[in-house]
Amino acid sequence: MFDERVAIPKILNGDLRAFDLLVKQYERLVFHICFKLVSSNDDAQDICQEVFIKVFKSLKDFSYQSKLSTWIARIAYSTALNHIKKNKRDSFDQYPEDIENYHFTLTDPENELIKKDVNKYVNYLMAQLPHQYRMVLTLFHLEEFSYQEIEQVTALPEGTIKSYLFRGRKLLKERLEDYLKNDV
Amino acid sequence: MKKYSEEDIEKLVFNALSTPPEEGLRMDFSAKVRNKLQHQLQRKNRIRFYGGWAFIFISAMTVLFLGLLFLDKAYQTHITKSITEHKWIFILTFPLLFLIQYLDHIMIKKAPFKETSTSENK
Repeated sequence: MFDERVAIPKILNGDLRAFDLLVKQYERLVFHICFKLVSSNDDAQDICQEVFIKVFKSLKDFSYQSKLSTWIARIAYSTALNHIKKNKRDSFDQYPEDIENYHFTLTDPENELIKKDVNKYVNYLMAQLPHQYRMVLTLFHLEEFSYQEIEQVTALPEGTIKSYLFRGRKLLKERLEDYLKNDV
Repeated sequence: MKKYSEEDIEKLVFNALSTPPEEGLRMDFSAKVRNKLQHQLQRKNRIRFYGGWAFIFISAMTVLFLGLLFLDKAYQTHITKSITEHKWIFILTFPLLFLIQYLDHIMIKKAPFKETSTSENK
């Protein structure tokens, strides 16, 4: 079990094995944040590497004021945002153009397949939302962060976070409803 | 044809949002990060090591020169004057020595010794 109070002093003393444990503990979180923002697996892998190197270098500044996961998520978010700004493109244009051709069959034995396709479609829609919406939805639903934690990561006020969550979900629901009506 | 209620659609959206992406990091990701960090730390240590030695060398030369200045004043000799006259030899010799060492290091790194077979198997 990973204990940050034990691991951090070790890492600060140059113990790379302890850092290895930290990477394994938070790689999923960092990847989800980066991938949801850049939408390219290769880019996300590179950004994740950059994030963990930043974490290693600035770990001495971590003062236990927040959870380590929130602190790492903030670094991941700002690094991925910088990457987007540098490349001056948003991620949705990297999605396959034939996304509209996903086939839906709603017979019961194929529920898993349907579920998978719905997931793909929702994720496709989500990738078109502004990055703030994407981040808030990802942190809340996928990583189960609280409003306060999302506030620390994104620096958005709690009211804005709630509004983004509500509007984002509403938009996705409306689009999915149309999609299911038209294709089923 | 199945009809979806608003609740069903909400469930589908919530389910999709909480499902992790199929893509993920490579299995050896943490090892790659560790190797990169190790590489960076080694480079940093090397710079510190050579920087330290350069500092010691320059400090020693300064102390030596100041000592000679003191001697010149005390015994009215002209050692520092003759050193200053040939300053370019001193200024160029040491960096040149370091440059030769560095080039040698790079050449060895670029072209490692090739194994040559002394006997042939027939």
